[in-house]
Amino acid sequence: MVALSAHQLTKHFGTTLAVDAVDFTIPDGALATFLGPSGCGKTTTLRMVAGLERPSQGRITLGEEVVFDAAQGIAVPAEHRQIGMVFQSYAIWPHMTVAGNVAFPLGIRRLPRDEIDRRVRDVLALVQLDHLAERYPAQLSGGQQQRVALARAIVFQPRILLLDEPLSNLDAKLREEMRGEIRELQQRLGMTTLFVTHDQAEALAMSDLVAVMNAGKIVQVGPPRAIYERPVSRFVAEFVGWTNFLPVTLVDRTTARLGDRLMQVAADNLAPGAAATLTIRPEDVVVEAAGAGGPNLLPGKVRTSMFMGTHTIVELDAAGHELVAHAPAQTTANRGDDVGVRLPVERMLVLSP
Amino acid sequence: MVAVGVLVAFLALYPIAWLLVGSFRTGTPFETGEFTWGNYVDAYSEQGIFRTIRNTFVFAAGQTAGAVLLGTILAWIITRTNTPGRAVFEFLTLVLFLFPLIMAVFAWTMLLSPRRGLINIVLMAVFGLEEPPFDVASMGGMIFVQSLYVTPLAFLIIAPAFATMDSSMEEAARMTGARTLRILGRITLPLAIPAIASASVLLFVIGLESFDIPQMLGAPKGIYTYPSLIYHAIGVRYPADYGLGTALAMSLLLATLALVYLYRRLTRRSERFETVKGKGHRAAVVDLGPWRWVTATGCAVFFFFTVFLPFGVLVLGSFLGFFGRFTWAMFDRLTTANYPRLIAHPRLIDAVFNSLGLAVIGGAVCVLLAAVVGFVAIKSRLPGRGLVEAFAMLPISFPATVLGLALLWAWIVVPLPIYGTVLILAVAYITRYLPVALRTVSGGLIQMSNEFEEAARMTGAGWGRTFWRIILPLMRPALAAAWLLMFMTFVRELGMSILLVGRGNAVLSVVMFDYYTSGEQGLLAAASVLLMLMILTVVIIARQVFKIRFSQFGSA
Ligand SMILES: Nc1ncnc2c1ncn2[C@@H]1O[C@H](COP(=O)(O)OP(=O)(O)OP(=O)(O)O)[C@@H](O)[C@H]1O
Ligand SMILES: [Mg+2]
Repeated sequence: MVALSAHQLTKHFGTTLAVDAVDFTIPDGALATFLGPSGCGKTTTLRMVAGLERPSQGRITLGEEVVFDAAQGIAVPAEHRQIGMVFQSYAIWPHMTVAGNVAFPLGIRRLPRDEIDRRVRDVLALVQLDHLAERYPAQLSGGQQQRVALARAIVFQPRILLLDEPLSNLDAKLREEMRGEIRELQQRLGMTTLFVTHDQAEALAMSDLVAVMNAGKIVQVGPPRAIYERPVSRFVAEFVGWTNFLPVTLVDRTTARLGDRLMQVAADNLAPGAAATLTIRPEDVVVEAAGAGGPNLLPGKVRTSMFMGTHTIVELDAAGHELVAHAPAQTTANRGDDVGVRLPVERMLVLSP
Repeated sequence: MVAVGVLVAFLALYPIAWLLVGSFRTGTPFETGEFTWGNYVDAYSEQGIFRTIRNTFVFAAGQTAGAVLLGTILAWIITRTNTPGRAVFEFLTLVLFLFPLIMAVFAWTMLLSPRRGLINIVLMAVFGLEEPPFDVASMGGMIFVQSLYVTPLAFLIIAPAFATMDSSMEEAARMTGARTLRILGRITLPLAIPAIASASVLLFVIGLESFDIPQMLGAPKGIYTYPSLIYHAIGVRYPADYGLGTALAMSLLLATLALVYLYRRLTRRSERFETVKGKGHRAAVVDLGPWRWVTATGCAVFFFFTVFLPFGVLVLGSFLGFFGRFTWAMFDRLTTANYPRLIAHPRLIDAVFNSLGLAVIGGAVCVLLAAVVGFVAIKSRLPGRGLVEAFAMLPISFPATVLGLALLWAWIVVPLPIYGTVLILAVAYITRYLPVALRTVSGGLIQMSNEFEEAARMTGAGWGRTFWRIILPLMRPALAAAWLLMFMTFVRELGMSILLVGRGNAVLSVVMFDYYTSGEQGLLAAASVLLMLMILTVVIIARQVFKIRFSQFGSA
């Protein structure tokens, strides 16, 4: 079952095109992430789903219900969409206690007093805040405020949950902890969740589905592993840690020309004769002694070498191209050393340029 | 720096010290006297004193309630909704802020006095009433008129709280299913409570201190508040009762000192709260749907009754020999005679000249002093800077009548030719309004990066040169705003002037007050129209030249 889908969703702010005709579909119970650099339109997309921003074009469907359709003039207001949302600033109301914040949505739904009390208690227990129910937000830590925001967003059993960079205000250690907790909670409740972040590690760790956005467009959608291993463009590749890029021309499906060298590649996605880009992660570049033989071996010169403890970062000049390798820690390479640089064929991707 | 500190302390403390002495001694400032407790004993056994105490509190509380209510509604509509014409309404709030109270009183007398008031006449005709429904010369009338014209002060404090509110607080409520009205009641208003509380305290102080309206509307009917009773003791009774005046003034001063202290504590807390939030973002606008026409109409009606109708009545009155009862026949009596009479009036030319001189030059001196004090307090690391600022801010809790009486006493006893001249008015205005100028100037100073002036210091400039060559030029917008505010305040000042004006130093406000008391309606109306045109011209020029915004005035 589909919990949420968007069709040709577009948003203009004056002359800026913030979101450019995006389409997406999120299955019931999944956690989907919008991942992209600052200003690419993630928040705007999320706010259009919430009903806080009016799309310029397109359609949004929540379960069976069309909540927005520009063509038919349908626009269900935010307060009627039954969507839970956690804001980047948390937006915890400072003049209400933790319990007061969490009870607010239930008061609006006119539940009886004891039912409200019970559900507030339950949901606070779920986010491990039961002991702080009577505190005011100013007396809470960042992580605790985050949990209040989460409790308030799920207490009325919304149809979906939206989270806008909920972890960006936390320090690194807490962020990793909360990451696990949110994911665990989401899976336990089976709550369809839309998550926005610009942190690729967060996106990969938490999601069932990742949509990478750039300049208002969705450029790739897929499970985290597919995004990580098979990026479809240089933009996505760079975003998920592919940092070495070599310009080549394809000769056939297994051979590419790099300058005056031939390299073995696996390119079934591009036509022979086309210009392409080879990419490889730094940890897959092999640094060997100079003069060894074999396929895909480039002569290299060490530019810098930095010992990092777990590995050594070697910056190389390989046949006139800059490459970075993460070599094993025990590698000893000095500036100016001649080395061999091997690019294993099964570790390389061929992308359109 | 030491000189500035001494000057500021002298301005604030010297007159009050004499007031204190005067309240514990017999006789007038012209005579020698001896120590006594008698002034306080006599003051609080004065007939009707408890009615005066009650009146003062009822008036202060009533106008606080009215102005805070109106100011909150207006601030929300103007800063947070998509009501059409918001920019115009904001400008009209400024006009309302500048509307001289003497003109407001005069106009509202013509609208609401029992027999002659236009509104009473219309209501009696429409509803066939036997009796006029309103009497402006009553406690209710005083509270009503005062509330309307101090609403902009409440607006100035409350509007920033709405404008910088974090709108995700309200969006979060929407996402949980709450609608506009409930969000307003449960989230938006509670978040503005700190600002509303400070506005209430400040307005209560203003109500306690108010002289113009209690004097003009209440005193003729025997409804006294502290300031009007002080004036009554010194300026009306013959011989002047200095014992009563000084004892009442000291009592009132103690009350305002305590309340201003409370106000400073309240705002200090909310200011800290704001700096934590940091970002100067503007809160999102609430879409009122069709209701925006209701709010627009409400604002239009409000400004029609507070600005346009009174001003129209004044213009009409300026073309009539006397206003009398409103009838259509009065349009046959229209005459331009008031204006030549006004200009021929011997005291008026002097008064206009004195008022303009005081407003232009006195205002500039006040702003310059404020700039120096602000620089010392905010930018320098000099020891004792906090004390300098504290002395400079102290007179904010001096009611005008109290300071007027204190200065009267303080300068009669010294053998310098200051009492009875324009100079004593300049001292009075500068002392009383230095805190207001300082607040406006500080706004600009705080926003200015320290690095500008540090860079100047690194090139070898001393702090004097840094102040003249770097700080003052950079602060031009804030200084211009402060000067404009001083100009407006000085040309309208009545509470101190009325005690300090003698034969040689008439000012416009006092002359207009005399027209009011002697029933020279035609002259008063004509003078009002000229004053308002003068004020509006200066405001519009200043807005164009210096791009001053209303919000820069900060809260007095
Ligand atoms: N209210 C607005 N008015 C005008 N432009 C806006 C508004 N909100 C967003 N934009 C613009 O739309 C674009 C997308 O903004 P959005 O906030 O969706 O980005 P984002 O992906 O959430 O970025 P970040 O990671 O920085 O939060 C940006 O260019 C932004 O400047
Ligand atoms: Mg964002």
